[in-house]
Amino acid sequence: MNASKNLLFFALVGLSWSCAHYTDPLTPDEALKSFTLSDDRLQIEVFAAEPHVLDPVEMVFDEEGNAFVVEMPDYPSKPEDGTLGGAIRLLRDTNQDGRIDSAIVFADNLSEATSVLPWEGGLLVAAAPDILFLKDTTGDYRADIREVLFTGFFANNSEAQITNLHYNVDNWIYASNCGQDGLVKFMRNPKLPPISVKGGDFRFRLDRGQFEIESSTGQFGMSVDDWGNRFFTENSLHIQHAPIAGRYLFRHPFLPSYDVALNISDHDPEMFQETPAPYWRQERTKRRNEQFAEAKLDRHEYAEDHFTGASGGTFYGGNLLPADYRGSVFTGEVAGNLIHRDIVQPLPNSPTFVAKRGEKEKTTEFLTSSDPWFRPAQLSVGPNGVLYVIDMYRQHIETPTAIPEDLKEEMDFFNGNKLGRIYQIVPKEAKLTHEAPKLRSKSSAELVALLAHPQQWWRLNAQRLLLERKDKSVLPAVTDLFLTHADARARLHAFFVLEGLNALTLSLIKKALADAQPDLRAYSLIEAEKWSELLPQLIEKTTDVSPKVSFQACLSLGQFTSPSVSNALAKALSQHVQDKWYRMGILSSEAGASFTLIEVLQREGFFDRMIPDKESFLNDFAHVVRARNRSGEVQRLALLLKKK
Amino acid sequence: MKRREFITIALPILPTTAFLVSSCQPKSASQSETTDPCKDFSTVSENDLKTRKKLGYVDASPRAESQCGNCNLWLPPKDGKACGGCMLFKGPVQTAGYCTYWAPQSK
Ligand code: SF4
Repeated sequence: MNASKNLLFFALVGLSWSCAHYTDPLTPDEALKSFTLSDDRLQIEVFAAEPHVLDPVEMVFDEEGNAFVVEMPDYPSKPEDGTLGGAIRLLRDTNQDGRIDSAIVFADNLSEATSVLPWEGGLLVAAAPDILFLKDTTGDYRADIREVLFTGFFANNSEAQITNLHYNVDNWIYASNCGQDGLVKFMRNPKLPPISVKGGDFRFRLDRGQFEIESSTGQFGMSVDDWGNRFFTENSLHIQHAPIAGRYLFRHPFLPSYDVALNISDHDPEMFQETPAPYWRQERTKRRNEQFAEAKLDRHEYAEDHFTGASGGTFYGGNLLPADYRGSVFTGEVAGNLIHRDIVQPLPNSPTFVAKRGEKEKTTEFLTSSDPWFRPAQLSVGPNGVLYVIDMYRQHIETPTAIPEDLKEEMDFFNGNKLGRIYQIVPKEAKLTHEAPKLRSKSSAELVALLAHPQQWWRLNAQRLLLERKDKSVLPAVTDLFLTHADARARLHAFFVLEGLNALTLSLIKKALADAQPDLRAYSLIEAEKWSELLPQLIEKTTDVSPKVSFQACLSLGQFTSPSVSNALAKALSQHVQDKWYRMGILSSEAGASFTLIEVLQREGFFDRMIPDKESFLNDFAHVVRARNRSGEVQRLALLLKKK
Repeated sequence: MKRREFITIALPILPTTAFLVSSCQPKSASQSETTDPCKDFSTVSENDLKTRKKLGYVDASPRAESQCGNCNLWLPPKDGKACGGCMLFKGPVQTAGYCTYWAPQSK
């Protein structure tokens, strides 16, 4: 912290020490003065505060523009008397002045709910061990339907439970499971066998009754960009990506590793906080570092200026903030009392991404606070493009069991559990619209037009409502939008409305395969998997100029078993062997882990000049061969390799 | 590296892999829990056992690449000991274990 900021910090909090080690809370309006934004074109204002919102951890806007907030007063531990404090509130701005003035409790008595998603006029709710569907059918804004949709998720640590519900452009709903063990049952169809989500996340489609493990291990925070790419957060790892979807990764159970979570930040672990580390953390870190030194371990722990509490990543798909913010991912850091921003770009030679700092944030953060109570647990983007900051506002955020007993003596882990607040970040000159979108009363034709809206919120909600209505009369208009619209994002949403209405034809998929936008080509490959006559086009796409597309072609080809597939995969492997994701993705399929592939490689001279990446592939191939233990295969591999 | 040279390196991995796979098989009945020093909690306090449970410690990590062995709070086994420890609680901790407090090692 520099000297002037130090002075400001002490001026703000110096008069309010409650004891030797911790500061007192600030009112929401006082807290506004504690913020520094890196961009002076922007300002931060109070949107909602206690008593309208308490302990908020997430806020989403439904298709009508209603703001639903998830409250988590039971963090970090549920009361011993068995009562449950979790609630969902509907916030209301009755005079449309942009500040919340009333609230209705939509649902309460919830066990550690952390995430909600508008769905069929109600809300899906992640509340471990369940995913619930809650709905109000009487018009009083209180849920009277409470259905358990899925159950069996891990429920022993509120920081690592099922959360982050997101409806994605591909019509699947994604949720983070932090890799926790669990046998998940779908209660709408109890005859289906439960699935294990151990080591992964979760995704499901209620329109088709499908559910499966997904290949990431997100904790609290998931952001989804315009093209449906998911980025996830896990405490000290503030932005990760999983390039191989679960349905490919887990095709056979013999890969040497199923870990595909990649830290894409090019600037970890550093962050720039304004608040000094709290006393307990400084002291605990000192003790831990002494222990490391004593045990002669080459390890260190940092009490501050390093990500440890990254939580709640949000893609900015709005158009209210200046154009340079579009496509940014904003992540809260509850331990550093700040909001970090990443600019996420696809890599030119690999099917994944890099997350960089913005020009103005090389040595600072998008937003910092000098108030150690500021806990930006989550962010949200409204239909009007406003970036909202969900501030849980607690004195302490940490697992109590991880703090030594003597340091806990003067800590009250619930201090602040009536003090949540939500801020909005807007351009200084912005004229905000507070008019509710009211999408339910719009005609299907109007919803089709909204698939081309410049803001992600509108496109996704219009897509969801069109599929909910199952109104096939929109098919000509949606097809026209897909075939003719200049904005690739509009074409993408139209493509998936057609998919959701079971209206994708061979010719439409062929059209998408030739689209100028790589993400659309990549999605069309997934659809092409269902059409064996498209195998030649799938093979052709393994040489696409975009790594996103050629990689997806390799994954999709692995759904087929004909000899031409192994040929094509062998060629793709030769070309991309330096890339871990191609090696792993190809090896995940039967054809990619076949002897036909190895024979083609050998014929083509792949093994004539070995490099470490080729060795790595061969080692992994040998692992698969040994682990699947098919008669004679080990000997066959040994022979093959010995042959000149 | 030339292919011929590589073969001599690559082939020995086959038995190694076989070992890795066989080590994943269930233990035989003779390996009873009471004789396993990594399962001996006789000197561990109630409080530490409670902490272990609250953090969700399990002997086999559900996340293959996130294990006690590569966690910042892991204490490797001392000389002659079969299992390691954790800085958050006392008692034996398996290299392949995991709890929800896992954090990557930092230098
Ligand atoms: S904190 Fe780390 S070492 Fe300790 S039990 Fe958890 S994962 Fe294992």
